[in-house]
Amino acid sequence: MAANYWESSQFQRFLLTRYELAEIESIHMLQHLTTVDVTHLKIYFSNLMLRIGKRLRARQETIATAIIYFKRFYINNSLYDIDPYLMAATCMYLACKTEECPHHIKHIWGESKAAIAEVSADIKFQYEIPDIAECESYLLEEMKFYLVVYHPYQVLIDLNEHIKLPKSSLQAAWSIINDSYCTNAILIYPPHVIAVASLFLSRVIDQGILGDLDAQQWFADLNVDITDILQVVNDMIELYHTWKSYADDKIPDLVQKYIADLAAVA
Amino acid sequence: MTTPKAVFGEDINKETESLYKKQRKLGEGTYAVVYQGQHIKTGRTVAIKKIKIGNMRSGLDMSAIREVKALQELRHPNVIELVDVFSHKTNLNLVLEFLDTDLEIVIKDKSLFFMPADIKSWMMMALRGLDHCHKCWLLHRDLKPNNLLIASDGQLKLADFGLAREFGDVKRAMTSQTVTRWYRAPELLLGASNYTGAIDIWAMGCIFAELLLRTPYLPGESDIDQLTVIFKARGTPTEDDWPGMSKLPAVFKFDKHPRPQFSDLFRGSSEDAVGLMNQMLSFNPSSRVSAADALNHPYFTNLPRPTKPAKLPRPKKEEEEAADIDSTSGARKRQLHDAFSEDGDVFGGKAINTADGPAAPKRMDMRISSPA
Repeated sequence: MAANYWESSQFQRFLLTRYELAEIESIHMLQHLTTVDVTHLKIYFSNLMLRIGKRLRARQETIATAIIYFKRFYINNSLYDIDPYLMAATCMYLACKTEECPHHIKHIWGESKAAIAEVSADIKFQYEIPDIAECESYLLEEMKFYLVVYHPYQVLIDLNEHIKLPKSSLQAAWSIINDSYCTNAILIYPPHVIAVASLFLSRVIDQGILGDLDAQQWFADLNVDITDILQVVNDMIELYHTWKSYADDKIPDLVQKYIADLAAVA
Repeated sequence: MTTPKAVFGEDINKETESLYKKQRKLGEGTYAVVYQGQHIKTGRTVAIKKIKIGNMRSGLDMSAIREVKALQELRHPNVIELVDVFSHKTNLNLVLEFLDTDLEIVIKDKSLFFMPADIKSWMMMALRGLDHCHKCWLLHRDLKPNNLLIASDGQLKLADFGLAREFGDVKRAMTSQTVTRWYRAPELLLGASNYTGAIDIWAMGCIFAELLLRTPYLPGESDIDQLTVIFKARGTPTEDDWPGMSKLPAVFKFDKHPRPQFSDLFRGSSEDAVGLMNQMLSFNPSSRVSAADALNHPYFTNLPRPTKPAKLPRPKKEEEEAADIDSTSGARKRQLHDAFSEDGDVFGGKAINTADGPAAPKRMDMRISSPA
């Protein structure tokens, strides 16, 4: 159902403003964590789902769908409510089904377990297969059974029909979209904004050439709010900046400590 | 699971659940039970389709996922409305608009007489609903008269989206094991793994013919037989009729059947009706008419005008039937057909007609469960 984003539930029900999100995050996160920590957590769980997805040989869009599900769930719930590792596995499981590449639940369970062990041997993943099934029902309820989500990838492919980028530049833009899933951009902006922002960033890297076209003119002709684009670009630059201090092996402890803190409060 | 604490979504879910009450069971299928229910505040009658999650071990199954996913996003007068969704313990409940009959019942009810304008009206509504699905890049993949439900105001609505999925990405293979056999397009029977909305159009063409003939047009007994039945009825296609046909996976050597004169079989039907039907049943999927183009066909603008939905023939309700003096025995009453059930329940021995009713030919379960 890729025809009409504007009539979709993603646009009509799930789009948040930057301020709404900031408020939500301040409740859930900032009691205990710094903004850098929060960004690190986002990178960590997106990477984890990417890892699981790669093991399953899932398409990038399926992984992206899982990440959106994960984000949607933790808008209204804290990491203490449901273990994020279990939720990550569950989101992958559900996303594979909605994106028409279903895997057996046992397979998802096994691969998730393996992917988590890959990250760190210290993480406890003691869940069994029925836990994923049960967790799925919480996830579905939380999302009010709206399952269709839209991604920037298709927009990028469509835009590329016109501008015909060299393969390496297209790849760069594609990777920037991948990275955008470590931010909240997909919860705030329509997919095309993120796609254009990724193009913009990849163009900066290539110094303003846009295939055979005049890049400045091309961006000027787009019917997209340039401030939105710049906001996303800004988010991305901030993300890359924070990424420098990111180390995979430090996060499991952070997660554990954070969940313990939340438990103490509850 | 470390979830003693209430999860946010759970409260909303409970709230939704409390809005409805179940009244009576309408029918049961292999994967769902359908109840008649009511929205407590407004009094609106709804159908509550309770999907059994047989073993909780693997969560929600694919057809439930597909149905929820499709119906949550589709909104059209000719597509069944998903009013609400909630889960109860391990069951998923879809609150759907209540529709009291379906096209299969109407076609089989020999006491009803169809005018050409009636058929036009049904086809128009069905194609409008289908056109909307296709515009949203969604294939229904299981069109047949018993999935075309009819509301009390006569509006026809596409239902049962348990096999529906998006299309448009040429790189992704899809299963050809879909659509109830009698309505399955030839490219599916020949094993195509990339297909388009044309498969739904073929099914619509078969339904069109069924409305004209009052009996299934292409009732094959097996997958191979289905092709033979199609070729006998429509003539064996040549590479000219359908370029690329010989490259399909399951092609073998067919008996050559000549193209028969359609006008013999459809003698009572107008030329434009048969013309449109032939376009919908074209062998070559890429030259088969689209839903949007079908709606622009002169058939729909020529006289007679399509009947207004409210004036379409419809089967008598139970009470009316009981009051009918001509009715041979009071015991013969039609159970409200479980419009949402899978074919499986018929196969499983749950007869739709009461025991003493005329033994209507039972439809076999022709659906093959599809993994992808």
